[in-house]
Amino acid sequence: MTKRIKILILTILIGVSSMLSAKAYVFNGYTVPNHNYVTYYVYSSFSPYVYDFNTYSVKWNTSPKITILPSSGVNATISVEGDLMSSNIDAYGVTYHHTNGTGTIIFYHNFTGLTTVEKHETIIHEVGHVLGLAHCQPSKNSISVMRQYGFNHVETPLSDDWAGINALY
Amino acid sequence: MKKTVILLLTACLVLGSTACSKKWKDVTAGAKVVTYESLEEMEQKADLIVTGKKIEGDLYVHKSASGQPHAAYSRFQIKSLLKDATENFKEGDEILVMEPDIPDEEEGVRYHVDDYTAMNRQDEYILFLQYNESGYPKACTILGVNFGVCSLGRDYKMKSYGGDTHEEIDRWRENIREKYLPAVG
Repeated sequence: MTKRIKILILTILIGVSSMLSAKAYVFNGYTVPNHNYVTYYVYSSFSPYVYDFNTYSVKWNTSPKITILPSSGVNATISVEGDLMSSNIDAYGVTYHHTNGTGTIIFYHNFTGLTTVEKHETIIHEVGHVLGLAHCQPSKNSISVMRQYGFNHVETPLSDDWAGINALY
Repeated sequence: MKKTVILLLTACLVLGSTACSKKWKDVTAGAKVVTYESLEEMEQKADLIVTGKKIEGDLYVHKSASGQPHAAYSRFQIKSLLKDATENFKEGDEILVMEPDIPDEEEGVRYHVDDYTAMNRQDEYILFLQYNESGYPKACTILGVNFGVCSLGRDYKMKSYGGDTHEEIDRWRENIREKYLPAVG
């Protein structure tokens, strides 16, 4: 193989590798039925944090591809509940997807012990799961609220989250 | 010709029964879980540190107000009691453990919270647990979902149902095995 061909192959490999590593967002295989009309309903079990959910779930609306708004009834894209008194799962929040594209988010007892900013980041994180984002690659934790563990202590989606939503919808 | 038809029918029956025997589709339930800085921190947080085996699963599946199954309990028999901050238990006792691998019959899925896979009944496990005395039923929660459970058999590594990687948990479990396997045998 000539030297030129070897250099060309190496250049292509480096280019492809850098393209792959730049993408940190990961999709979970789900999408909402209508990304311009994503409704949510907060059950009374999460009523202490209705204001927080109302304010921070809609941070995703900064993307022109997403509109999240409250539903007047229980038939919503996102059902939001709390299991705040018991400690069934050692987690802050969990998102359960349904086959019709809707999702249920349940916030657990540990959520109540978070700081205010961490609560808001958790709300944005769980809504991100409903919208179709899985946890980001660990090397990109600092630019995504979809990090699997820990917090960035932010109250808005970050650059890689926006890239993921724009790519998905 | 007759033999060929019989063979084809038999093959169809076998394939069909194999397909039908898988009742559930395994899916991830994305979660933000509690984490611990070190194994020592998790040991301090635990009310119970036990080894033993699972006896029975998918008990008392709880549903939320909207009908979402989100808690399923398993019976677990204690072989070794390594820590008991409650002073309620002894070796040989059975405890209820909440396993976040939850069946949903309506959806036809099993939700694996943060890719948690239910314990099997063959292996011995070590569990780091929080005891919820005021809960109903009185049951134990596994700390950190996947961090607080580790098979002492060969199959201790995480499975993935939705694209997450789990090298961190695999390494964490290797540390647990390194520390506890020599002690419990």
